[in-house]
Amino acid sequence: MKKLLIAVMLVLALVLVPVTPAFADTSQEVSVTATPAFIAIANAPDNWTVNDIVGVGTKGVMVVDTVYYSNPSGDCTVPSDDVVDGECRFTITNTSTVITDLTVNFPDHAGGDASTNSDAGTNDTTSFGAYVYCTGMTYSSGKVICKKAGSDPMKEDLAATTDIKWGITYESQSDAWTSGTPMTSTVTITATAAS
Amino acid sequence: MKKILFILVGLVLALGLMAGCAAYPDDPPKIPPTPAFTNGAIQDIGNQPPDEMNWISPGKVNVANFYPGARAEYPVTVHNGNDTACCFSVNYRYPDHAGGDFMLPDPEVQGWVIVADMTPLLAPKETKDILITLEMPEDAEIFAPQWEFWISVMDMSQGQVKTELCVRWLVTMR
Repeated sequence: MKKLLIAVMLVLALVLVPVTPAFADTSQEVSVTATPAFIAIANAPDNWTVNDIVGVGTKGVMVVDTVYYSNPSGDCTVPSDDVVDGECRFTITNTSTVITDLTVNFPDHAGGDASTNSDAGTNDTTSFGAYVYCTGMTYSSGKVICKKAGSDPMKEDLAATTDIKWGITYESQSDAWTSGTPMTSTVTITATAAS
Repeated sequence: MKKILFILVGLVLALGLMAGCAAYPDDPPKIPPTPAFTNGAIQDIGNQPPDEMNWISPGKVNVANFYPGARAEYPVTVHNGNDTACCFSVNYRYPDHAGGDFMLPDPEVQGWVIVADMTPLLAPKETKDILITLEMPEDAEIFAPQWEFWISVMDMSQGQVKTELCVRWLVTMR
């Protein structure tokens, strides 16, 4: 009877004391880590009026079905293979401590004829085509389609603390303008740490 | 009498064992507390960020062993390099592209990301931490073993050609 009582007491103790889960989770905890680094990139200038650098025909006025470049050598001058600094309007100042990727997106226009981005690099009746290029790129084969969103990187693996110059190619819509008023868009250059 | 007592003992033991097993879902793993300010990490690399330029830190946040019901948080440090006070936008951003084995996120991921302050106003040369929280609902499906989303930081005072700085969040499910 004594043994029995001891056994019952032990059982009670087991029940009262929290039992260690026999099949409890053995996986690791969620971990959150970040590499000490910063991304510091600035772009200048922060604007571009198509056909306004040198001007073909009426300066600042865009003709339909025409390819324009943000090229200080000429608004309708194709950048060379390989692209040189002098053919790029924009300068990226980069003091990041990590290797970065640069991606450019060009959303649809607002106002005026509100041309939309074809996302194909080529124009259409009511849509424009756009590419981006940068120094050192083989323009004819290396230019990158600039979509309204989700573009491929214009520059991959840009070294830390290395500046770069870049530009935009714009092919205006093929149909005649109907509104006669200006249209605008906001181009965004995005910097991320490289993969 | 003895038999009954032994049966009772066996039953209680079995119940105790089951109670132990049932404790599993009630005790999810906890993540370590988020540091209040991350500039210490930036100083560790010995290369000081520029005071006169906008910058963010870190460039990448790696989340490992993530699962439905789990939470992860890490701040993005934003610096205003302008000489005037500027409003920034801090937002979830669907990536333009994903790296390596990481997949683009499901659209619902946007709802799992909480930005503590989406429009912080920063004084000239001010640096501020904005807490980002990733909280995956318990009933959410794991759509990929590894996936990525971005946190976008943009100075709202820019012109028509804007610069956007993004933190890549790289999530690995367990």
